[in-house]
Amino acid sequence: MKHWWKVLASGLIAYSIIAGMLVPLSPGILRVHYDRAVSPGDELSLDIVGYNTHWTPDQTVSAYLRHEEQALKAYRIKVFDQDSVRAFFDLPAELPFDKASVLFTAVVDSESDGFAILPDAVAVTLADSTRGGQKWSSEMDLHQRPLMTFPYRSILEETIRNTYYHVPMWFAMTLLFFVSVVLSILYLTSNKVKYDLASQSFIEIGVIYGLLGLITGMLWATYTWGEPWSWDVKQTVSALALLIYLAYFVLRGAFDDADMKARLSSVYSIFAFAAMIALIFVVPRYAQSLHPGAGGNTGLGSEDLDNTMRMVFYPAIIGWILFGTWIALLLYRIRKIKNKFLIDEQAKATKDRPLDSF
Amino acid sequence: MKQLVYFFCTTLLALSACITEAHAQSSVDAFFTQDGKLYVVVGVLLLIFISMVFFLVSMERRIKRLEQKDRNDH
Repeated sequence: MKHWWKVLASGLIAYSIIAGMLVPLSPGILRVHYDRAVSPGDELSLDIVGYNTHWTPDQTVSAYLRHEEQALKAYRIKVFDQDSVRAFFDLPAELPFDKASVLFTAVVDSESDGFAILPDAVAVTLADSTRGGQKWSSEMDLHQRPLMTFPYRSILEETIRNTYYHVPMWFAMTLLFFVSVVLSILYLTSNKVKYDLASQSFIEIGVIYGLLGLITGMLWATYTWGEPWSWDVKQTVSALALLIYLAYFVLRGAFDDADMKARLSSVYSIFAFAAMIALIFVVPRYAQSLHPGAGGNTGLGSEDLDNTMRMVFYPAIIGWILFGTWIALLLYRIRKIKNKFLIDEQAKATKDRPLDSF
Repeated sequence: MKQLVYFFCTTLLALSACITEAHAQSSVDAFFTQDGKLYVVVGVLLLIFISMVFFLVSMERRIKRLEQKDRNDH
């Protein structure tokens, strides 16, 4: 079957939507609450709200405060609900670190859910108190987390699923632009108009993907970074790269002479690709960014993409690339009909003077 | 065609009215205030889907123009 790859494209996208939406998040801690400032030696009762947790009073549920290698286990824990517990700590007289204030990670461990954590949950600040309580210890006895879940990360929460819908847009856009460069080079070496038309079609769907990446990113940022546009490096450079590619269409519109139009826009598309690679893949490495992969780190680390996520993420990328190719070929066919006269003329000319085609 | 669109729209409106009546506004509110921010993911998927539909419509318009030109030429 000739169209197998179109079926594959639809299947992979459908799979990424179904699996990406249905696989649950691993159990996490949504928020903790305590009603006054905490100092060493204090009694602390900590209200913890879980997410996707199944805590019950009849299983071992334990809570910890932890910073680096030091931890403190709650001496008592009260389970109210499947996602709500209160943990009681009797803090030691001193902090195990030489600091005035330490932010502790809250950890709740249970047999059913494994461990759930919330970083920087409790601030303990030094004060003049010498009352001693429990002892710090480096031991934590944690259970396995459930398999086949996406990682729970505070602030991101369920929106971690956008990794399968927002990020593939950019990956696919890059590949579609790369194909357009290859086609532009083919045009420049062969002078056949059809390659230029194909190149233009790949750029068109690539730009659509880029714009989609930009607006989906802005929607995502509104709920995680707090505002749609925060002049983050990657936001800024990808907007710039898209402007460069939008100018490609302006450039095409500026020429009446078909040959000149094809030649110049082919050259432009090669430069635009080089500029895009420099902007999106090189510049963010040297800057601070809210995006993952900034500051010299390549791409997505294991913190951003674990093995379960890979099982959805990579198929989504392949799916969107194939889908984009499909659309690009449709656009190419429309353009071929529109420029039929031009192509026929060229074919006739090469037939008359065969040496010209080499 | 126009009648069909009218029919479709009124049916949709009536249906949505029924649904809101039955579940009360609370289920919609609950979706947008729930913990976990799942609505952001739904929004992203809808954005992609709607944009693709608009793109298809624009492509159809281009094809229509070509067909008209073809008809005029003959």
